[in-house]
Amino acid sequence: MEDPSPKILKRVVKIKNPNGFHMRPKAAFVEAAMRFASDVKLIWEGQAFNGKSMFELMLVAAAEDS
Amino acid sequence: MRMSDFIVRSAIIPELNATDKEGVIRELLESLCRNGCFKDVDVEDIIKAVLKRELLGSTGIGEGIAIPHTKYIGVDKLVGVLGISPSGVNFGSRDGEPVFVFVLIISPVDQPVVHLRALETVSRVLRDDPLVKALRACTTADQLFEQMNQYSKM
Repeated sequence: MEDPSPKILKRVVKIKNPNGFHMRPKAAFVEAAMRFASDVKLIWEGQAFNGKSMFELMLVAAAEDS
Repeated sequence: MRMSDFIVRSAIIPELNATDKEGVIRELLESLCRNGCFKDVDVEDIIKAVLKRELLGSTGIGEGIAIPHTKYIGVDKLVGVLGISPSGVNFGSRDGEPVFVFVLIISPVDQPVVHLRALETVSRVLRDDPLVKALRACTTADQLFEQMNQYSKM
């Protein structure tokens, strides 16, 4: 019988862009996340943000190297 | 960071006249210019820079909010201006809806963290629906500034 528990895929990434995680990469992130049916969360400084919401990602002021 | 740290009170526009994207950006920047925010800077050049940024993707983030912005070499500190369009403007926003509340931000080129924090600050404040409704109901620049400031203190 198939395991009904949800599968969670995680990846830890580092921001390499000197301008940080600014609006354009945020828009690209949302566009990519929207291609998937699953929930996509971005966790930054211990908080989870909806990866399919531009408005929520705007709260992620992640600078280079974070 | 608070919005009052960089929003220029005297430049706030409670009722934008412009009805299109370029017109709104021009009106907001000319207001900053009239209030002495750009010394030795060609405002037409900043307008071009903000419009160029829009070509890469609309800064209309949805829910009637837009945060047009650019980093600019002739600017040595973060400045911003708040403007309200009573009838809404087609800004090419991601949700396809018109924009009523604009916060335009110009940052120094060498302060990426300040720029990120400013965008985060504006987004955090304008996520509050009752605040946005209250801003849209304001009729003067002073009312808008006080309303925005009251929220920031909470």
